[in-house]
Amino acid sequence: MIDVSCFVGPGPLTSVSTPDSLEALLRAEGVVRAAVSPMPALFGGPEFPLPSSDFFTPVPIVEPGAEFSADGPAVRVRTARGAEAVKRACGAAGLVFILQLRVADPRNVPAELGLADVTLPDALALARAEPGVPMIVAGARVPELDAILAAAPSSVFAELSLAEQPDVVRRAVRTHGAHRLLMGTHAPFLTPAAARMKLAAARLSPAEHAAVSYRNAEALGF
Amino acid sequence: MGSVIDAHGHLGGGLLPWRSADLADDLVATAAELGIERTLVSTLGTTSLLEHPGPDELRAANAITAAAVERYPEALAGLVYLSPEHPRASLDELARHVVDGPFVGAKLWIAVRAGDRRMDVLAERLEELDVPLLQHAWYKVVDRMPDESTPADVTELARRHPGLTIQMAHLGGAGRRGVADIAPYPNIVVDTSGGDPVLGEVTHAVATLGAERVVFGSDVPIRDPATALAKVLGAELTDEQRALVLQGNALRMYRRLS
Repeated sequence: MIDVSCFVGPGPLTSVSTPDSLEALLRAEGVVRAAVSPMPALFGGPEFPLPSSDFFTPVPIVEPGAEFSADGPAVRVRTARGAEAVKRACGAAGLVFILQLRVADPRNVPAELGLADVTLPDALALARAEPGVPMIVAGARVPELDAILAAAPSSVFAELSLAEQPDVVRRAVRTHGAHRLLMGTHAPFLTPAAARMKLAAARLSPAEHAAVSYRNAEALGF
Repeated sequence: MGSVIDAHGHLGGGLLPWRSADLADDLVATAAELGIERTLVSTLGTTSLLEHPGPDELRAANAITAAAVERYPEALAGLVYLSPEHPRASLDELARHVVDGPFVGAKLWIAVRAGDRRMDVLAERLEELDVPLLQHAWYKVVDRMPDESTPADVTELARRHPGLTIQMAHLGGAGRRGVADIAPYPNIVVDTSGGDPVLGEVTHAVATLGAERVVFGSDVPIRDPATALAKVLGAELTDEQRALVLQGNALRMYRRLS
């Protein structure tokens, strides 16, 4: 499995913070490559050097309005405001644009951590903008994922780490097609066992399984 | 992994099937694929989840559970939905489904808070019957429902009724604060349901409470049982601890299961 959504570095909600510990955690659940973003950037913290290796693909978190560069195939944004310009710049630079809709269940985290969700209307507007630029919606719940993939061009993909309902992967494949779905673990916030178990429970054809677990990610450069 | 008991599932309530036209069929089929041998189910309303069910609504909800348990006596076990706002009707339901029927426990949601004195009449009867109570609880930062219990509320009930076994729902909503709250009360066991499969949550609960006080629950179909199972399978537990969480504790608590 290629994990298109995980985080590394110190943060308030997890004790797994080093690249080595994250890699061990992910490998134990069958992840062979992971697109990793800096945890501190989610909380307004200092810069954190992203690992780059055969296992980790660095994905910086970009603040709209700030200049950015990327050593990997993608950048991630955590806010919709000003993000359309980032998406446009991604198109010019040949990068994948990742929109992180949410990081944690707002019922369970202190408001002062500033982990506000991106709203569905804002996510939809971004998904429709710059339709030639590949985009991944990360951290969506099932209703959000359904609404965005139904309304957005086929250049928009979704990763499934925070999408949860019985048979979630199978239903998403039947509804949207395996070609638009990717696996993310959202580690180390979540146990990566969840991504493995969701996929294993999906009863997909070998071709569908391969597409969702790694082929779509490979095609996007991960 | 041996056979698993899921101590927290639901029927009715407007909750939708995901494979067929029948929720119980889907729940049983999905559970079997995941190695879940038995699921403890309750129904919190016929067409929606009822926060304050009346006597007739309790009867209708429990009839849904009873019908499903009758269809799947090996795969499902019933928890009778009660409300302290209607003690007479609740005691009648307890008699109908537990004393005279096959149900194995009781379920309370958010009609009143767990520390409310109106809980006592039902708690005393459950103690007499040696039947566990599945009690909802959550520490919510936002979206808290009126009369929704916190783990601290559940400790009040546990303190007044030390002979009552309480399965406190939603480790994922209790968090470390909730685990710390219940630690001094050996008659409270927390179930692993609630929220996302947060890394370290089950490991911490077992380390703090002991493996005997953590029981697997998925909250199916509100949550995905595969993801719920991953919380336990992904936790840092010994084989013995995992077996207790996935099966042994439920068998010990719910004596009528065996």
